[in-house]
Amino acid sequence: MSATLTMGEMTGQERTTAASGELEELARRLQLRDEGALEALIARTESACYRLAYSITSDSELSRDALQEAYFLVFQRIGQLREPAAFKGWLFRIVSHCCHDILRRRRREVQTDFEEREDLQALPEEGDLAEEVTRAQKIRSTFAALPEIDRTALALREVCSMSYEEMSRVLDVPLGTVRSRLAKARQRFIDAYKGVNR
Amino acid sequence: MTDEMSPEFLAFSEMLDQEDGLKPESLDSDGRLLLELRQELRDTATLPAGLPSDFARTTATAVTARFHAQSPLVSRLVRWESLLRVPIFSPRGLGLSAILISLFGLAARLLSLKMLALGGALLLVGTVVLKALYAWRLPESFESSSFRSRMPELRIPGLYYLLPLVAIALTSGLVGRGVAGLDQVSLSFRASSGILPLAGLATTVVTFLWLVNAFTPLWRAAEQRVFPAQLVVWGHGAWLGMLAWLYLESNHVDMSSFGLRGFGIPEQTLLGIAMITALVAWVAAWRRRPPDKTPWLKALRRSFVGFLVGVAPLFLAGALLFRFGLTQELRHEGFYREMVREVEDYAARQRAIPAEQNGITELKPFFFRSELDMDKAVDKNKVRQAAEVAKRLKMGSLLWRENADESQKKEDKGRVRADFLRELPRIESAISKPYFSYVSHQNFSLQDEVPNFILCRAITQGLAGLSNEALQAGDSEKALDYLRMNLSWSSKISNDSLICLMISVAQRSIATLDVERFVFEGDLSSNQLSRLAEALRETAPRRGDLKDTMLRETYTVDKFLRQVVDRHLDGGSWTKFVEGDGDWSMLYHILPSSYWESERLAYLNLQLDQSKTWEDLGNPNTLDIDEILMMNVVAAQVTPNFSRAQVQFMRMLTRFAALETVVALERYRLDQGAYPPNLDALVPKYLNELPKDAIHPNRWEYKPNLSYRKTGAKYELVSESPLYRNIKLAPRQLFGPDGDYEEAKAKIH
Repeated sequence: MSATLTMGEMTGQERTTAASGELEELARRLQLRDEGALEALIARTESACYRLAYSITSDSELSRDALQEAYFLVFQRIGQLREPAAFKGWLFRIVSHCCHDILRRRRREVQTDFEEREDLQALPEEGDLAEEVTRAQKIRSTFAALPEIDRTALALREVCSMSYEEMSRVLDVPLGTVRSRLAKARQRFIDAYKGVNR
Repeated sequence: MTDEMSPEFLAFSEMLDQEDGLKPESLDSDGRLLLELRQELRDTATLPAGLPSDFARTTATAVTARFHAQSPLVSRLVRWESLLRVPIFSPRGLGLSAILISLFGLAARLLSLKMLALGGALLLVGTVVLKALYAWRLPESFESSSFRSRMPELRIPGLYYLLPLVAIALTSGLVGRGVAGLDQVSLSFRASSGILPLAGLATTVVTFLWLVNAFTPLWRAAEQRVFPAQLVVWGHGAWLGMLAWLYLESNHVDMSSFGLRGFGIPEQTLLGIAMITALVAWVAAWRRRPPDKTPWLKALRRSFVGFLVGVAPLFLAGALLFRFGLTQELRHEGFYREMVREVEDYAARQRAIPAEQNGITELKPFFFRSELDMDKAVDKNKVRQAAEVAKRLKMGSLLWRENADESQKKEDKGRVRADFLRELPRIESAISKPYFSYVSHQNFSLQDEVPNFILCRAITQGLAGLSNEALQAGDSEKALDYLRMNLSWSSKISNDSLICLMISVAQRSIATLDVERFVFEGDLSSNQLSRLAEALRETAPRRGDLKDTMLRETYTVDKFLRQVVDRHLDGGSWTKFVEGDGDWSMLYHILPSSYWESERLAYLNLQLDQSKTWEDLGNPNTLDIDEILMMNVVAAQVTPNFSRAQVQFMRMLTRFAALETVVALERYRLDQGAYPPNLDALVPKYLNELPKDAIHPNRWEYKPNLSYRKTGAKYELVSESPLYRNIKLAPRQLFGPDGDYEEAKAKIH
């Protein structure tokens, strides 16, 4: 785990700092167009970025496409990153923007209906486990049906474990807006979930 | 779904984010649902199989390929742009900085200051244009497509990176150029100039790194918004403004050439604006510091310490360069002693001349500035009369055709002539004395204490004018008398010092201007031609004059410098000279004796190295006064332009040799009825020896003779020397019927 960006799993301050230091170094190397830096950086961040992307798009293929676009932009625009220490937030911002872009472009094609998703249909449905799985499926389908803006806020907070300050920078909104946007997203999730149950 | 958010739910949502290890049982059903959502989203097991195992490698390859598949311009710009982001203090950054700054320093060394300032401006503009191109050509992306958002440099705070670095690079270039240009300030450094370009480059790089290091804490503080970023930009803008002003000032660039004066904004105003802006910026920065003060004060302290720590090695390097740049020893020690002894013997002999035998004593009241100083005069009436005499003699210049004003009333010209003729016997009397020694009267002195050059020249011009008038009136005997008197007068100012020799050369140049007209239009008899030849022979400069003069000149400057080294100027003109010049006075007091001793040795080495050149009249050095900065006391203040003086002297030798030949050829024609087939026919009856082309840069024994060719009824007498290109902008000099004579005739008619 120490070789990858842990985010959700990483809670200790020291590990976070160490991981940020590694990322910062990779970002610096990339700024100098150091050979191999891009591959190392992708390997280091792909898992976290994928989870963020999947949270927003709810589609593995779209997430892959979004990630490829995001890494291209990272490589192209790394020179504009003035503070390598802020690389993590910058990367997530690019990933989330790419996800929204790709969703916008393919809105008509993208199938967001939970019932038609192969990966979830394949889940087992028996006894307690089946009930548990059904509840989990409903939670995820409700989340997937939320507006993009809510999904993004919740993903950054819950998947990427970002602080309000980091989210404020990534979303480019004031701290108070982050606070209310998260609360609203949660409220909408609860309402939607309850509506499904009813 | 509700859009209204209750404060309770907002607080609940925040609590979920702030408290770790929340237990589901401690929450209500909504809270439990949200914890489940968190768990679901974080649970990697529930993620669909998404990324292939080689995603990193394949994506990196695809991204790189796509990046390079963009237009070559964009790729190239992006690659260059990354160079700007290389951290200064990384090994790569230091290496890159060293290379760039060395190139900058080299350019500064090779180009003028004006070009350096222009280069800085182009660097600034070029970088902005590059960045603009880069932003413009970027494909659509996730960010706002507005131009401004892609061009952080267009936002004022983005100029952090540009303005300070440009300001520092220009400052470093200026400092490095100053070191590289020490050879123009000091003769000592001129002697060791081989190391100066390297020292200049090294200084440029060190200064650059030092300034960057010193100012980085302040920039960081500014960047972190400890105080407004714009202030840093203004501060550096003002810095750049002051540098530009300095460049223009030190390069003596007339601001009006940029049209600024036309707008009523002289350079002082620009400087004032720059300084006020800088002051306001820093005061505002101070007032806007945050309450806890720590970052700002810390940054200031670190910058200050960085400045002090960085300046120490710079001073040490400067001191070492100074120490090793000083001239330590005198070459030609024996020759130097011999020179001092010879010159002092000469001076003693000149001082022994009785006043009544020295022509310059009679002219002293009119010819020396000190004698005409009304404030110091005991008998003011006498000084007033002397000034009147000087004024009447000076009017002689109006008699010369070059200075004649056509609109001048005839009666005025008549009065001028009458006044000039009234005072002329004084000159006749002075030049009839056996001696005309400046040394016996005034001792050797600096160039501002020589006989009044304007007055000397005015008398020569007056005599030339009278001679020309007589020739035009057909009175060749009278014309010849004035010409002979003029030649005699022009050669009288002795060659005690180089400036005197120069005055004499200039006078002889005027006096001999009409000799060819005399020969070809004067209808002179053989006897008159003989007298003219004799006058020319008697007043011609001698080959050895230059060496004697240069040794006396060297002795004079050496004597002056010895007094400077000892800090003991023995009154008179030396002291006056030091007190009279602001820069000089400052240098005299602040530079140590070791510097002046070094300058003295370097000057003697430079001069005595050339003694063979003076003797041989070989290739004179091309050192010009313009190459020496205004601060170079020895060369610029004390000595006149010694390289030009040598060339002018050699030219005058050639001119006299040519004129003697012209007269000899005319005498030959009168006797034989035609010009001779070659010059050998003139020797020894009409000429003592064949005319040497003295201005030719060969050593004396290898100098060619003037070239002679008979062309029908006329002839061509030619001097050819590459040095003519420097002084006459022509490849050769023609004498005889087609030479200066034609030029002079055209001016008269």
